[in-house]
Amino acid sequence: MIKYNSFTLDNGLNVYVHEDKNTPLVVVNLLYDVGSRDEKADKTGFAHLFEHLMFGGSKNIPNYDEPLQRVGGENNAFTSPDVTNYYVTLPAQNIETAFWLESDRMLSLSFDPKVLEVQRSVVIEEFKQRYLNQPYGDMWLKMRPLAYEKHPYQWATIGKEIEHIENATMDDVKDFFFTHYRPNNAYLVVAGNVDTEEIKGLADKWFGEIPSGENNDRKLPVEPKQEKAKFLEMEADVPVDALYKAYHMPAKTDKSYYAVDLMSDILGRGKSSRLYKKLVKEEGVFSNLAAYVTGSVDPGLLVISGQVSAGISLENADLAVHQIIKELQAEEVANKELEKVKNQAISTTVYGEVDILNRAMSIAFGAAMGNPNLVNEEIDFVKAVSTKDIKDASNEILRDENCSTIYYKSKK
Amino acid sequence: MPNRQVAPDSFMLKDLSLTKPKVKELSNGLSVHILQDDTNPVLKIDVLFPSGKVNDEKSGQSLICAKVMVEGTRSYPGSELQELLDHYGAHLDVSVDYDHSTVSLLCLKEHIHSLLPVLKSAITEPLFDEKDFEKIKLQQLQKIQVNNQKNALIATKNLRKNLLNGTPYANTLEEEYIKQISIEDVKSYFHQFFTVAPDFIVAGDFDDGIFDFFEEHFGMLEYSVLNEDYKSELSPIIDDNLIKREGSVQASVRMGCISIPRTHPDYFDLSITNEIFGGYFGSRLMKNIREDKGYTYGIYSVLINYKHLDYQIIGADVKIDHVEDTVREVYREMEELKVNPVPEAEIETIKNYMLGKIASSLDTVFHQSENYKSKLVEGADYLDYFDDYINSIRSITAQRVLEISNKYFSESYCVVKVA
Repeated sequence: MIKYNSFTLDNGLNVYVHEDKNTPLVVVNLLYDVGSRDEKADKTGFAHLFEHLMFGGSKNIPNYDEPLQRVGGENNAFTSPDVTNYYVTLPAQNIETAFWLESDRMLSLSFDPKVLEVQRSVVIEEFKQRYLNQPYGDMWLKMRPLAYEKHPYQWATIGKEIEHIENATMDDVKDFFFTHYRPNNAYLVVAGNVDTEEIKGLADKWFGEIPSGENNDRKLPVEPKQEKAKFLEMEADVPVDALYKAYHMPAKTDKSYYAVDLMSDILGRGKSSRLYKKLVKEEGVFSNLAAYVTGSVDPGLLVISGQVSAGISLENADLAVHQIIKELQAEEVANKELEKVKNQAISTTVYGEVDILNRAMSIAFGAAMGNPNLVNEEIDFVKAVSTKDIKDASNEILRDENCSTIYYKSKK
Repeated sequence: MPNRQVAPDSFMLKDLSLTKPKVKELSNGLSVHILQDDTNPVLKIDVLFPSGKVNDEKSGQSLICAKVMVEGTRSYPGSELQELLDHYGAHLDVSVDYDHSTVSLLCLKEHIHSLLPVLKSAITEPLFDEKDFEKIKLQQLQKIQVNNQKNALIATKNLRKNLLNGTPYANTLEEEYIKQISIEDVKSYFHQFFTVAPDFIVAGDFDDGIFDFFEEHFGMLEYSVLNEDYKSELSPIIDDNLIKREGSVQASVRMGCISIPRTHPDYFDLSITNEIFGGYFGSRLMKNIREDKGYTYGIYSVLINYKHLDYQIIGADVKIDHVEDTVREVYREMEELKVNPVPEAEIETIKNYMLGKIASSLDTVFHQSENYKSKLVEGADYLDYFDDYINSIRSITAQRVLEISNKYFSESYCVVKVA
């Protein structure tokens, strides 16, 4: 159970405070409700490029990192299809420095052309390092446009192509900033050795004067129901063949999300899961095989992925996966098997709560989805799933017509 | 309206309050190191064995042995072991480094009574099933094949081969070695090395009742003492290698030299100097190669310490046509540190930054147990180590950084470039 207090400033900034007197530290987590799903199709990769620019100096502070390091702080950030999240960890007595830094870059960036030029280049190297220069690194660059035809999840957070990043202009940057980086589009979580009253004062002092932006209710295109199986075969310089299957599934905010999530665990979480036990441990069709969900805010994907053992064709490996799916669809799972995946889900939550940064992020993610208390309620949602829910979910989701399959072949 | 031109007042981090570890002995003499913290109902138990890749007769032997140990045991054959662990949402993992091997159990406190017997079974009576062995071997082979296509890993591997030449630390996993390992090799490794007395490190919601349960399960086991016979002659091959790979879209650079152990009187000051040079986001290397030139997503310099050997490695993945440039700039940044004292503001920054980083690296009881384990491995006293480290950070001066740079950044570096 993660306790918190909350309040909202006049400009719309939502603030959550989780007090923990056992640590000498404090985490300041600022989540902006903007991700790569908010990009235009011809300017992809922008939310992430923007995350880099946020470290290039703000209106009154030429450099973000130095003053933070000077007070013993560390920070990082990440961009996902749904959100952009910034976090700082520092000694609790220096918390005001974090407020100063975060509020100044929300007020306005410096918009220095050299920063844009250098960070474009850094992001292009990141694109190469993580997606192009790695075996199988481009899988998501291929899978997203295959699975999604209308919704912006069809491009990866890093962007569709390097050209989009190369072509970003300062006007694009300013426009993006003043549309999305406003207090009413942000969620601030402060967790650690602090008092809520102290945070109220600091929040008001540093963030209070920042003007609100317009309400940006997103009207993203809805992905139409997939009507027939999709398939892509590709060849690359990789050592072994790999199979990827992605099924459309409900959004994280949907009630049936948890049944599908647990179903994916039954199929492919850990060594006692059905896919691993049968096809890796017993039959050796795959050298590794797993199933997981993307857990996105809009309807996401359930993914089955594995590397095929030498001498086995992708077609036969695919058939073997099908067979396991059919068994799951035909009969309700035993109570004990369901209990196992529930225990796995619950213990993962408890392990996660050891770390203060995880606690802060959980509150922020829930808040951005409309329920800051989600992290505390999730365990009940998990517990409520029945064996019938699992069977229904398997028949609803694991259909060929709902699936995109990639045969990723080794060029040998 | 707040004055945004001036930074708010700040304060140096006060002394750290570390959980004092308690060491208790089982009746067979094995030590249980306890870091008690009941904030979360969670327990992590590490069983630390004093052997690892250095003890391999065939490269990969220790790793495969450890992995097969947690596949199935006499009391929990086939899938039973994994079924039970997953049923309780627990994790049983193994890790093998050069000097040590660890078997770890992570679980909710309420399930410790069902799970401690599983841990005992894994470390005392693994099944070594032929099929499990073949599967693990295949997984390792495929992993090596995938890794051998990553420029960054090829670069690191080749740097180690050259720099650490003549020692077992230069050995890396290769397909041809793994293929030669038989199940008998694995069993023989187990009987020779997993029968040597381990240390238990327990972190989390531990109590006397659980200690009694430890005694019951582990107190009667018989263990031997490790025969230390480390012999090797380090003879680094210092040169500049370029490895060409068709179709690379990015180059990897690694530079390295032999360094000093953590027990050396200069160690802490070198560690601080290295932090300024390439240890954090605000380091000289990051500012120059990433933030000024945009050649890379990241560049770092780290000190690596083993039981019998220590080295420094500098690494980055960079734009293909800026490889030589990057190497030149790395040398230039070393020269800069050797010639010009670091400005006072930068010294202030590094002091506070490192103190904050140490505090956050010790924030949870699990972080503390990781740190504790590494001190135990190095034979250092955990509490003294951090006291000394913090004192060194507080008292470092620009003059001292200059001295250290001149002493340690003057080595000839071994360079590997993959492009």
